[in-house]
Amino acid sequence: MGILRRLVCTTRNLVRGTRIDRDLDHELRAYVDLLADEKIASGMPPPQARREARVESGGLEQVKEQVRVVRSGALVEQFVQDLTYGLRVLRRNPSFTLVAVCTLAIGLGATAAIFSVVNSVLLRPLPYAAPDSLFRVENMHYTGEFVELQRRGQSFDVAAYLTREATITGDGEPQRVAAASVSPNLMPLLGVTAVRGRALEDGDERASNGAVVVISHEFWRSRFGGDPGVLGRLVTLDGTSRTIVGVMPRDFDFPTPATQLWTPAVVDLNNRIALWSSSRHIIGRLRPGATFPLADAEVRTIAPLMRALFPWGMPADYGQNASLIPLKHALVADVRPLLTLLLAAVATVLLIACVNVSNLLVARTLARQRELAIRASLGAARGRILRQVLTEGALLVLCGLVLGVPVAYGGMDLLATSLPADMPRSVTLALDGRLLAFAAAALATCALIVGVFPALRAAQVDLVPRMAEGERMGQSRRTRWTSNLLVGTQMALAVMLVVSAVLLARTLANLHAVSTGFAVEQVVSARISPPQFRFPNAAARRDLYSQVLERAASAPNVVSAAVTDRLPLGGETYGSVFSIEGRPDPARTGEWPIADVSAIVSPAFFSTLGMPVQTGRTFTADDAETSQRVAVISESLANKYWPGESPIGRRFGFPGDGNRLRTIVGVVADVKWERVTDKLRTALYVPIAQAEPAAMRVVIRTTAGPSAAQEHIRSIVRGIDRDTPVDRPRAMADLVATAVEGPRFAALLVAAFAVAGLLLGAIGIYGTVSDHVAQRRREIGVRIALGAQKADVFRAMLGGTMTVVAAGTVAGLAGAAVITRLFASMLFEIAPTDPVTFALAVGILAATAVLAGYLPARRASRVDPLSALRVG
Amino acid sequence: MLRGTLDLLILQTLTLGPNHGLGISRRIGQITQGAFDVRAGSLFPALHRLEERGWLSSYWGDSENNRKARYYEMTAAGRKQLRAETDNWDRVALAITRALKAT
Repeated sequence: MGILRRLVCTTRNLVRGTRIDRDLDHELRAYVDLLADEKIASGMPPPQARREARVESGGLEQVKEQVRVVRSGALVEQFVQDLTYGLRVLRRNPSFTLVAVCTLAIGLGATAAIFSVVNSVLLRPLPYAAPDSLFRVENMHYTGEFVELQRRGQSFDVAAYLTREATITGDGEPQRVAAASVSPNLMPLLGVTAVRGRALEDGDERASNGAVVVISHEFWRSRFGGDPGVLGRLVTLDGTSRTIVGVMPRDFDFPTPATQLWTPAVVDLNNRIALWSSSRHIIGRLRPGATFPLADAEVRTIAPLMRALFPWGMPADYGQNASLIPLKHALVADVRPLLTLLLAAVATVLLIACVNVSNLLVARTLARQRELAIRASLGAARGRILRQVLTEGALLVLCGLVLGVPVAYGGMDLLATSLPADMPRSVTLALDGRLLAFAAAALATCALIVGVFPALRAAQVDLVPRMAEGERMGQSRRTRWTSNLLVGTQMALAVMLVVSAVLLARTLANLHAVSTGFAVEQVVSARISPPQFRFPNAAARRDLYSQVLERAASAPNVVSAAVTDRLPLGGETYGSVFSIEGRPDPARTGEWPIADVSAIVSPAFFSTLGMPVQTGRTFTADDAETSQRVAVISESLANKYWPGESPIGRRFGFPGDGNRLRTIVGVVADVKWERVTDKLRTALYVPIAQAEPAAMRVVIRTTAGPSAAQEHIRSIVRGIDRDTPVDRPRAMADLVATAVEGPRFAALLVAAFAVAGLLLGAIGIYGTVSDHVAQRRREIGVRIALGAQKADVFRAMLGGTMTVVAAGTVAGLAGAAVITRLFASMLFEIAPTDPVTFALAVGILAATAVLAGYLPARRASRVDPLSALRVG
Repeated sequence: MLRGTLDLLILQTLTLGPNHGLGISRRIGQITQGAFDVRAGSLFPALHRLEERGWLSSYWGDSENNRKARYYEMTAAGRKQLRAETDNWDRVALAITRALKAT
């Protein structure tokens, strides 16, 4: 039959369905009448003739159904029928529908929101040309190493970058922005071009060409209002006037999404000290034809050769760890465990939601057995009933999807504001192929899980006994098995969520309990960055800082004030090597003592931060530029290099500091430098009077609130010099809070998912036990009539379900033991298989399960035997 | 009954002129000498299928004892289809008969 004809028939059948059905009805009635006439003509009494005619035609409704099935468009018609019927069924049970749809909507929406974060950070390919051939060099970060790699590399090209903060002065308040100092070949190497003007290119680093800068799309919009004439304009960056030569595309977020400016890095090949002590990140691209293993092998060969180029000796194993890793991997390595955990957690909630809805549907199918049996006896084929039940499941999932879309968008907004600030790539809601594929897969899985168990149940409907018997005493073993499997699965999944949540919550508690080693309350800080053009030498800057401290200390609320170039937890840990007087010369042995942190501080630093002095003294005003050169060291440094002896009075020197030795005058307690989870770091402090300070942080302890204190610092600095920016205002309490931001985010979200999972699990148990009770009302009535005690009934109703819960819990614990290992790196001072946590999770689960099962079971124990038996 | 046989029989029956459902059923009984007793459950789906394919057309008419009945009538396409089906049937029948005799 031609397609056109089929189309015409389909349309006609669909559009004029009722009329055609009426026609068919008339036709069949006529058939029966004719048949009866025939029998009457052959001498049969009319009533009998009519009855036999009816029997012979085999049931008019079935015949009609068979005719409908062969018609064109029958499938469409049936689908529409299933759909309208399904909608009617769902509308008839509004509370069930509401619970199911909301459950699915929240599950789907939350999953989509988390997935879009995972997609934009972990999955989305880097938006650069041939991103798969980009890599980052690990364990090599000195400028000199970069220069050598660039010079010697055969199978790859390299570029370097360094994130920093730059000060913009000129019109208005000085502004600090996130900037990157990049080798001029970085942008060409990534294969990115500017949307206006040009990207940085080779030659930009030469001062003779004039200093240039490339700005971000965001910066162009916010600072210049998207002015098309921005190219060629001048901005003053850190006191240097630079010409804007280009605007980068909106989605260019290298090295961080916050970066607003890119300046060409200037490498002075003649300054060997700077070359081999300043550091930067090195990235690279494979040359055509080269492979990762080849380039990796080359780097491993070149690296050890560089040991001889350092102006000082490097450890014997220098360069052994140099390697390449794919760039995307390197950029997102820090957040991968967090995001993977969140996706797994939210997917688990969705799975629980589906299983829950499926279980509710199974129960409903059971309650509808009579209806299904009637439909089957009226001529509905088994496949047809199956399709009907599946359609209802799919309909629920579809409604869930419709409601889930706003949930997903809301979730995205919420995530965008609550994600830890250090996401390495910008988070965007891109409706790309991956997101759509994920959504489709998630939907299909949901529809399958939701529909398949009820459908399997429906397929087992036996026609005759159902209709004849009305209500049977108990559930079939098979049904109970399905429902038990579903409840058990829910429990197992919920256990995994609860264990994860408890582990993270305890990690958070451990983090809060950690001592940072310094006072947090009432301490605020801000950075002062005296521009080079206003304060050209160390003496001028020292003078600025002493003026600032003088004015700060005289304010009424200030208890004490100090300056430092390294703030604990301020993300500024830079160390230094040194040589100890009277020990073998490290320049010869290559074994340099090293302090993880080397700080320049003013005398009041230790008292302001409340760091106790262990032995000796801290700095005083008497430690002047010309007096004896002194230093204070941390306890851990003392223990490392002067174990079992007093370091007081010992002397050491920094390389490149001439032969001027410093005398250790005191030992102070350790503090946490980088993160509160850090192990102790060795530290070395020198007085500001005997050092060359650059940008410093003012730290004050004050009884005024943090914002008033910040404003105070700002006004003091402005009173001295208008061109000196004051930035990075921090209350130390906030710094500590920032340090636990990631773990807190993870703990909160996973806890929310765990609660959702538990609630759904509870609903599942409640539903199953309720059902169980409803189905067995007569049996319970008989039992009570025969003398069963309430406790017996209670046990009988609850016992089976609790066994299933226990089995699910055990399976869940086993699963948890496996999955918690996957995020062990996010835990702090707690083992991924911590027995207390597992016990706690079991307790929470058991309490929830008993509570959920208790209510319906109690109802069972109160069944009145008389009324229960009479109903049947 | 072989697949497609019923269609062939219906078309063949209607070469004698239009008829209604019961009439077709009875005539098939006559011409096959009672070998096939076509019940409503298979007859009507087949009639509707053939009509949808354009081989039959239908109209409401009065039966011999003045009852409204739906009459089916062969179309030109139906006639063509019957010829094709008959040829095909002959070929198949011949082939099968030969095959059965050969062994």
